Amino acid sequence: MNYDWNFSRLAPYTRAFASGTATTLTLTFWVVVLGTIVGVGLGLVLRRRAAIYAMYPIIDVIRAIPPLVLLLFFYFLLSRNVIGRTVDAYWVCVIGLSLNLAAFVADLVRAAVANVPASVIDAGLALGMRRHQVTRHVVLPHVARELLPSLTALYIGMLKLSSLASIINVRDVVYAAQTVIADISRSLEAWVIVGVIYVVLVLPATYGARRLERWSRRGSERRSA
Amino acid sequence: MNATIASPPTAGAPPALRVEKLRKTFGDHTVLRDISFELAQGEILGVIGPSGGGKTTLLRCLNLLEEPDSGALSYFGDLRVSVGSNDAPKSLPEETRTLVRRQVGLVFQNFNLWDERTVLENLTLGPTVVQRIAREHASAAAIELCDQFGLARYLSHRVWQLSGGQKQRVAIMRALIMNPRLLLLDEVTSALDPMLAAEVLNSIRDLRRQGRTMIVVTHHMEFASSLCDRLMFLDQGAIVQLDTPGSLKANPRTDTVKRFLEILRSTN
Repeated sequence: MNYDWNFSRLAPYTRAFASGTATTLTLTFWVVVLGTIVGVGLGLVLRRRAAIYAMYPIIDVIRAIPPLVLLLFFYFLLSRNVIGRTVDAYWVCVIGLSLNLAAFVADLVRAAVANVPASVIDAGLALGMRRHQVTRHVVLPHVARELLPSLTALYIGMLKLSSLASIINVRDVVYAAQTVIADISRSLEAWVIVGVIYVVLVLPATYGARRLERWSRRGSERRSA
Repeated sequence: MNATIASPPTAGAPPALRVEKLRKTFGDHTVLRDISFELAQGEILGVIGPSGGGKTTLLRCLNLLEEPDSGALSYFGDLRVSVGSNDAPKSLPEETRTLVRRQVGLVFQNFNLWDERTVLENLTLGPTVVQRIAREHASAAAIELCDQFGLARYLSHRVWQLSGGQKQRVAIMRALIMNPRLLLLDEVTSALDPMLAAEVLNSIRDLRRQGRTMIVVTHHMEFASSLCDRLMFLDQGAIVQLDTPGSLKANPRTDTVKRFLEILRSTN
């Protein structure tokens, strides 16, 4: 190999990578929070037949559009030329990725709610709970347990998808690498650093997701035994 | 055949339950045909009869988990529900349904517990959500009940870790902790082996000693005879006979009742 690896040249950019990592994490946090809230809400609404006809085409369209296209669309839509004021690129990214996540979460929640056994709901109703109390205290905890492994996988996917943010000038960890490359032309070192940062962020989440899946499956197996 | 037999007289107290011409259909299938009877306060009524005769649907209608097509239900003289008449609403309002369910506890044949939760959580969710009782008070009541039912050491166990008999006792406790004025028990021993069934039956006998008003669907004839004040034989959605256990056994009104009792005797 003729390439002269030299990571010490990247030392002055430690703060830029740290700051980019923080942006990646907060961005993912907001995407996960907003995408989950909107997705769960939509998923619960989708229990009604009218909502299925009205909402499903929209959800399907959002799911069909690649996240990068969605981001670029919102980036140019939420600008001064179109809506009279420009939304910060960070929040454009939050909106775009949240919508993408919400569309997937909604479908998961709808399917999980539809599969809640009638016996679980009857038990709450027979005690005198109102419908909304059964939904909140019985159905949602049951659904959350069933969905936890799939949701965690989606969240990990969102952490990786957040790397698209640099395309619209959000100063995430990828943006930091691009700055380094522009300044000192050390592409391989910069991308290795970015790769290591993503591995450090994603691997613990992946192992956590596997544990959650085992825990969730154990309960289900015992229930059906 | 329908029968309406007055319950044993109680000193001026209104009946715990008065059922008038209760009717329920699923599609073309009529499950309950103009059922009428009364239940006195403190009385225990056993419901027996062949499978598919409408026993479970009757209990679900009394708890309003199923909405009857027509008929009237009166609970303890102060809560009356009427459906299917001209002046009655097409569908019962949620307010009425929850009001009835808070007075009428239902224990399911297959437990219907929340398996992934602990025994304590199963017991305290109802009081904290429905009656808005503070969690510590609900927990204290749950611990006391578990002591009574011999399950004190299982409070923190998840339901799926329990045996069938323990699960059914938790299901009974979950209904009891709401302090219902009327308790409905739906074949609570049918999913259990004889040893586990005996545990549950003993718990139900304890409830009789406490003066609970109950309707018990069962196939245990000896248990029903010793526990219940009256027995109702339900077949094809109609009351065939409603009598004291002694009279029902001595004078079965139809061949179906007679045959059913003989089969129960030979299998119990």
